[in-house]
Amino acid sequence: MEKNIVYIALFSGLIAVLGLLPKLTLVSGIPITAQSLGVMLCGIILGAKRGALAVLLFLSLVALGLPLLAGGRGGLGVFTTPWAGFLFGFPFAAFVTGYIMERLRSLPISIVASFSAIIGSIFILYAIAIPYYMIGAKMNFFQSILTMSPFIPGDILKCILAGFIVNGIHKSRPNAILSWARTR
Amino acid sequence: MLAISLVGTSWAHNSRVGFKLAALSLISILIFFITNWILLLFCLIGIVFLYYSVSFNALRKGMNLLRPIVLVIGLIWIFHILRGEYLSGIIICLRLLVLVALANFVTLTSKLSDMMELFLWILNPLKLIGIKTAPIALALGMVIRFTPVLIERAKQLSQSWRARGLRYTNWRIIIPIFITVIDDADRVSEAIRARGGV
Repeated sequence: MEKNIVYIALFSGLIAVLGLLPKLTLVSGIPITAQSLGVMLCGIILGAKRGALAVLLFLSLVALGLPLLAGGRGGLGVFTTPWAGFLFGFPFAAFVTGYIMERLRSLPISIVASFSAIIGSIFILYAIAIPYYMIGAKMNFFQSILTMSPFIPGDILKCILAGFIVNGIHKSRPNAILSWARTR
Repeated sequence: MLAISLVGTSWAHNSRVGFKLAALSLISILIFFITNWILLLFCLIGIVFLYYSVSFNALRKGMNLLRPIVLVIGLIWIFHILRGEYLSGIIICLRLLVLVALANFVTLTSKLSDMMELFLWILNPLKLIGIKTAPIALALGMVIRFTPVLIERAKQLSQSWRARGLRYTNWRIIIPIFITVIDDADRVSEAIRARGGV
């Protein structure tokens, strides 16, 4: 019980840290914020329920007025833009990512992690964010995809990186991957 | 950690958070029934005066908070122009500006502690279905307390990374950040349990 609460709390802090880190310069030199990587890692490491709760906790604090989103944004205003579909989609993304993670334990961890991140944090997230944007900004499907397309390569890259990162964490702290822990 | 909210004693600061949030939700719904752009423009001007009635500083901070979304709104407007829907584009963009500015106004004039109190009060019905809210309060407090610590830790780790020769930190820095936080989490949960648990 205590362990679950503390993990949820500290991981939701980690989402904030990844958003506030100086922008990571990736191989190609595209600067991207790592905030959605934090959401993926919450799902992958904590599993479905705890991962979604960590993201919900993070979003609650943003709504209450802490500037935890990438670029120091926060407050109620960020939830009223047409892009807020991404924020509302984050808990579902973490949940599905964690759910797939919990179900696939026999394969190498980096592959499972990247795979579940692609399904949960790209397909599910965009499946929520695109309709939300279409309604909020009165755009059609094609225009919405066009507006969001610059972010998709970065997101795929983040899913692959999530696999490497989780592999590194798994090597040194195998017990910390709660989604794969034996005692449930 | 600094919250977004402004310190002050204006009328907006003194009115109750619950009242402000209720008004915000009501206006957010009503605004979707306004389909006249001139009326929306007047709403926006009214919001400028609303900010100014708190202080000039509030107006400036409100503008700053809007800056990141102006670009997004511009993009939406361009798409609407391309489709030849000038008027509906203007209406949507104005409506968005009004909504975001109003929501930011509530955030700017409300203390974090008041917002948290209200949030936990809203969560009270969860008790009826057997979910305790005390752990939620604990978790909220922990995130507020630990996030600055974790940010500081991340900075230290990237400094020591650079001190070892690589000028730029890359994604690999995330691994030690997570590992140190996991170790912290284990120690903190032990400490909480040692003090009687949740």
